[in-house]
Amino acid sequence: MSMLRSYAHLFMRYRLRYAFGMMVLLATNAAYMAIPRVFGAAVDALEGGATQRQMLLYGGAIVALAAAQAVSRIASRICILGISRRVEYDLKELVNARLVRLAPSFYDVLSTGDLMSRLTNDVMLVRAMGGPGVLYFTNAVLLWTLGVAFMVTLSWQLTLVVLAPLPLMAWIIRGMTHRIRAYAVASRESLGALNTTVQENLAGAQVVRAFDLQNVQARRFDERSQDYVGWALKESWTRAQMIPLVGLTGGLSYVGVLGLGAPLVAAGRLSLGDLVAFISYVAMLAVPTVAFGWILTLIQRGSAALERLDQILQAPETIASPVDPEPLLATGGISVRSLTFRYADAAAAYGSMGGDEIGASQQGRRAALLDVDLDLAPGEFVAVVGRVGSGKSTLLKALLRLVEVPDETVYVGDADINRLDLRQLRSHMAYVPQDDFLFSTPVSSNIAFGDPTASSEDVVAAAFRAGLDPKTSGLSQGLETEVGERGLNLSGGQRQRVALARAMVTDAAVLVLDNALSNVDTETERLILAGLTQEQQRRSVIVASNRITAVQDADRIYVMDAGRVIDAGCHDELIARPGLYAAMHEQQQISARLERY
Amino acid sequence: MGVEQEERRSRDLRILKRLRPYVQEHGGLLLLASLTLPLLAAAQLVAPYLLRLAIDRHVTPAATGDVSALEGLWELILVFLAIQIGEMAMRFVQMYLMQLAGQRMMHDLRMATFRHLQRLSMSFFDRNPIGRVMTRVTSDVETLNELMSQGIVAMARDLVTLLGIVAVMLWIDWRLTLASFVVLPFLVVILGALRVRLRDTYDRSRTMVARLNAFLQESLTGMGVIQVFGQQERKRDEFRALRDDLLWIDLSGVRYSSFLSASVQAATTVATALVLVYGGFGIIGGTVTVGLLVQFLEYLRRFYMPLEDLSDKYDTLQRAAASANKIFALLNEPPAITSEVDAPILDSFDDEIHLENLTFAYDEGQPVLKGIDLRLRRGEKVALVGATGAGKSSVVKVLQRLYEAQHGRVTVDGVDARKFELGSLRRFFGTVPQDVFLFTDTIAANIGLGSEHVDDEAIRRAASLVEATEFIDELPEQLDTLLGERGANLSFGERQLLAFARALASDPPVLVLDEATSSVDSETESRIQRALHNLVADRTALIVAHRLSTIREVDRIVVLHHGEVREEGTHEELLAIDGIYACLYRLQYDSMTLTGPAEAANTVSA
Repeated sequence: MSMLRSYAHLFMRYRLRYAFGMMVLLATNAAYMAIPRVFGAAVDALEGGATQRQMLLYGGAIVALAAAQAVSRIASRICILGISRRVEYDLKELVNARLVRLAPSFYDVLSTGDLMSRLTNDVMLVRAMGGPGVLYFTNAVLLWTLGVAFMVTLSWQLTLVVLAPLPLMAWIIRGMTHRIRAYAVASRESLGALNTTVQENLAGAQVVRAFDLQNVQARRFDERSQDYVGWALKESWTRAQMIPLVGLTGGLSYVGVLGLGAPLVAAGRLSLGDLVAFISYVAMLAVPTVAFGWILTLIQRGSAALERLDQILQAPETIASPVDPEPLLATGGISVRSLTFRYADAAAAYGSMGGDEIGASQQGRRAALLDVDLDLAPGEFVAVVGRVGSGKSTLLKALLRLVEVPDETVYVGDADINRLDLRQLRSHMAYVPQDDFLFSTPVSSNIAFGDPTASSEDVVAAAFRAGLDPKTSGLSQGLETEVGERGLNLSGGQRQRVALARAMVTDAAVLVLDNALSNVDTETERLILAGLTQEQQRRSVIVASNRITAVQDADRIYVMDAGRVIDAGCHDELIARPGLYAAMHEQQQISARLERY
Repeated sequence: MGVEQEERRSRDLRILKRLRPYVQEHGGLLLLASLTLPLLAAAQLVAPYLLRLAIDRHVTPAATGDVSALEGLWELILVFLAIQIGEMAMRFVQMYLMQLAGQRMMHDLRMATFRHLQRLSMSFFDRNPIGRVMTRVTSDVETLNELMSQGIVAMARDLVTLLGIVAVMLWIDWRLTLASFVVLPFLVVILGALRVRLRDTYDRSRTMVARLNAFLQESLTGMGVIQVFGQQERKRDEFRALRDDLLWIDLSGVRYSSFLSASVQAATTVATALVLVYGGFGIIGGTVTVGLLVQFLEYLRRFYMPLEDLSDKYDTLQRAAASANKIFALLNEPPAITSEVDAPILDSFDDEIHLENLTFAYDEGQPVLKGIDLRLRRGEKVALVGATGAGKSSVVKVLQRLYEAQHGRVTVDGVDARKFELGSLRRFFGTVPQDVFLFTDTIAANIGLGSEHVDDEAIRRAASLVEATEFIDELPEQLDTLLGERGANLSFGERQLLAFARALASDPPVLVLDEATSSVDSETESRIQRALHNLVADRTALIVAHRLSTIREVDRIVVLHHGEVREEGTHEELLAIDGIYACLYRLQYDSMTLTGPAEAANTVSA
C-alpha cells in the first residue's frame, strides 16, 4: 500500500475531477437509497388504506428518482472512468520518459518482452484500480454511509444487526487479500517470462526455422504457459472463496433483520413498511459488499503492477547530466586516463531486478577495461585493434558514456565527460555501433534520424559518403526504400552503411566507428574509409576494427588485449616490434598470401 | 447499418464456431460447472419466496398485534440461512471451475497460436512487426480468457436465472409480471444502439493499441540509437501523438458504456415504481399481499442486476470478440511453406544438390535471384562470392526453404527438395546465419538448441572444434552459464563462435555458412579456419564468403553478381579469366601486398 501512497500524485492531479465525480456519485446514491424509504412509506400507506391516486404519487416519486439517478450516474462514470484513462496515459508517458533516460546496462537487465509487459499489462492494471476500483469503492462507501444513515432513522437496533457481520467480513478479506496479492505478483512475473519467450521466438524466427526448432520452442512455451496458468489458478482459488464468503455475511444480515425485526413489528416499535424498507436496504448493500472483494483485488493487482512500474520509474539513472554541467569547449580531442570498468558493477545498480544475476554471472570475469589510457587529438585518426572480447567496443562506448565510467577517467578536451551535459557530449560524437539498429521507416528517414534538421541534399550527401550510392547499392527504391522491421529488408552491409550515413549526417566533431563496416566487403570498406580520411580536416575519427587493412593508415593504433592497452603507435612502429599487433598482422598477411595459391 | 450488423453477427457466430473445439476439450469441467447452474437459480428463486412467507405468515399478522404469529419464524429463517450457505458454496465451486476451464482453454489457444506461428514462413515476419504479432499471443489471448472464464458460464448462469425468474413471476401473477417488464422493450432498443457504437470504438481502440505497442517495442529495441543521437524528445512526441489518438477513442468508449450502465439502472428503478403502483392497486383490491410485493421486488432486482453486470461485462466481451477475431485471423494465415504429411525424411544424400534455374524476389517484381543454376556435389566445398547485395544470402535462404522461390527448384539427388519433410530438409543443412541470434538460456542450450539429436558430448565437441572452449571455460559456470537477452553479456565475436558450434553440433550432412567470418578478427578467424578445415574435410559445404580467405579451402568458387551466376571455377581459373572475381580479389588484397613482407611462409592450417 505504501506504493499507492508514493504514486498518489498520479491520481491527485485529477483531484478536482475526482471530487466532482464523487459529488455526483453521492447524488446518484442518495437517489438510489431514497427509493426503499418511498417504498416503505407506500407499504405503510397501503396498510393504512391508501388510495390509487396516492399510489400513483409514490410511483411518480420513484420514477423521478430514477431519472435523477440515471443522469448523475452517467456523469459520475464518465468523469471517474475518464480520469482512469488519463491516468493510464500519464503513467505510460512517465514510464516512457524514464525509459529513454536509462542507461544501456538497464536494458541488459530487463528484457524488451518484460518491459513491454509492464508497459501494457501493468499499466492497464493501474488503470483498473484508478477507474473501476475508485468508482466502485467510492460507490460502496457512499452506499453504506447513506444506507446506515437511512436505516438509523428507521431503527437503530436493526441497523446494528445489519452492521454486526461487518467485522467478520473485514477479517476474512484481510487474510485473503494478502495471499491473493502474493499470487498476483507471481503470476505477473510468470507472464513476463512467457512474453519473453514469445519475443525471442519471433525475433529469432530465422534461427528457429533454419534449425527446425519449432517443436523445441513450443515445448518451452508450453512449460512457461503452464507455469503461468498454475499461478493464475492459485490466485483464482483464493478469490473464488472470498466473494461467496463476503456474500454470506450479507446473508447473515437478512437473518438478523427478519429474526429481530419481526418481534419489533409485533411489539409495535417498527412498522411493516419500515421492515420492508430494511429488507430492501440489506439487499442493496449486499451488492457493494460483494463488490468489495473484487475492488480489493483490483487494488491489490494495481499496486502490484505499480510496484513493477516503480522498478522502472525508480531505476537509478546511472548515466545522467550533472546538475551544473561544464561547457564543452574542445573540438574533437579526447583523452582516457586509467579507465577501469566492469559490467558487473554497472548491473549492480539494478540488483533487485535481476542485475545481481548478471553481476554474479560475470564475477570472476576480468574487467572489461583495465587501466586504459588513450589520446585522440582534434583531427586525428586513431584505431583500436585487438582480439574478440578484448574490450574495444566497451572502450568506444565509454567515450560516449554509454557505459558508466568513474570520474576523471575520460575527458573531452580538458573536461571530464561526467561533468558535461550528456546531450552535448553525445552530439559532439557520432557513433556507429557494431549492432546496427534501424527504425522501420524509409532509408532516408533513418539517415535523417541523426539530424532531423538535415535537408534532403544533406541526406543524399551523407549516404554517398557512407558508400550508399542510391543507384548502385541495390536499394530497390533508392533512399525511399522501406527498411522493414529491424532493417530486415536490407542486407547486413546495407544496414551498416545506413547506420554510418546516419552518423555522417550530423556535424559531430568525432566519428566513433565500432567495427561498423564488418558486414561490408573489403572493397567498399576501403573506399568508405578513404573518404573518411579525406574528411579529417573537419573530424577526428576513432575506429575499432578487426581488420588491420582498415586501420593501418591511422595516426595511432592502440592494441588491446584482455581489457588492457598493451601497445600503441603507428602501423610502421607496431609492425617493427614483436607483439600481438605484429602477430595479427602477420596472420592477415599469411591469409592474404594464401589467397594467391 | 443493417448489413454491418449482419456482418458482425456472422462474425460473432464464426468466432463462437472457432472457439468450439477449445470449449469442447474441457467439456467435462464446463459440464461440472454448469451442474451448479440450476441449483444456483433455484436458490435465487426460493429466497424471495421465503421472504414472502415470513412477511405474510408471520410479520403482517404480528403487525396487527398477533404475537403468536411469530411462532415458526425462526425455522423459516434457518432454512433461509441454509439456502444462503448452499448458494455460496455453489458459487465458489462454479467460480473456480470456470477459472480452471478458462485458463486451460487459454493455454490451449495460446499453444495453438504459438504453434501456428512456428509454421509461418519468414515472409510473414517481414510483413508483420513483432510487437503486433506478440499482442496476438499474449494480451489478445489474455483478453479472450475473460470471455471464457467470466463470460460464457456466467452468462449461462444469468440466462438460467432470468428465465427462471420470469417463469416463476408469470406463474404467480402474470399481470404484475407484465407491468414490471413494460420498460424492457425500451431498454433493448437503447442497448442495441449503444452496442454497435461500443463495438466500433473497441475495434478502433484495439488497432491503436497494437500500433502503440509496435512503436514502443521498436523504441525499446532501438533505445541505444535514440540516446546516442539525442532523439529522446522526438520519440516522446511521436509517442504522445499515438497516445493522444488512443485516449480520444477510449474516452468515447467510456461515454457509451456509461450510458449503457445508467440505462439499465434507470430501467430497474422504473420497473420498481410500476410494481409498486400496480401491486399497490392489487393490495387495495385485496388480490395482492405485501409479502408478494416484496417477493416481486426481490425478483426484479435479481432480474435486472445481471443486466447491469452485463453492461460492465460488455466491455470485456467486446474486447474479447475483437481479440478473438484477430487471433483467428492469425490462425487463418496460411503457412506458405509446408511439406506433405507423409513426406520422406531427408537425412543424407549420395550424389548432388542442384539449384535449378532459381528466380526469387522478396517483393514482387524485384528479383534478387535471376535464374541461378548451381550444383553442390557430395563432399564438395563450394564458395559463393560477390559484392554486397549480389544475392548470396538469398541463395541460402531459398536453399533452406526459409523463402520459396518463384521459379525453378532445388533438387537433392534429382528429387525436388519440396518433396521432403520440411524440418528434416532444414536440419539437413547446418547453418551459420548472417545475424547471430542467441536465446536467453545457457551456453549449452544455445549450442544444442534442445534438439534430441544433440547430446552433451556433441555440444562439447562442437564447442572445442570451433575453439570456443577457451572463452567458455573462463565463464563462471562454463557451458551452463546463463546468457542475457540476445547474448548481451558476450562479445560479438564470442557470439559468432557459439553460432559456429551450434551449426556443427547436430553433425549435419551439409554445412551452410552465410558470411560467417565477417565480424571476426583475424586471429579468431584463423582459429575458425582451422576448425573449418577439420570439419569440412568429410562434409559437403556451401560457404557464402565476404572474405576471400574463407574460401581457400573450397573446391569451386561461384561468383554472384546482381542475382546471377557470372563466373565459376577454381581460384586460379577465375583469376585467369580476369573478370569479376579477379577484380574483387585485387581490390581486397592490393593494399596488403604492397605493404606486407614478401615471405612465403604458410603457417596456418592448410
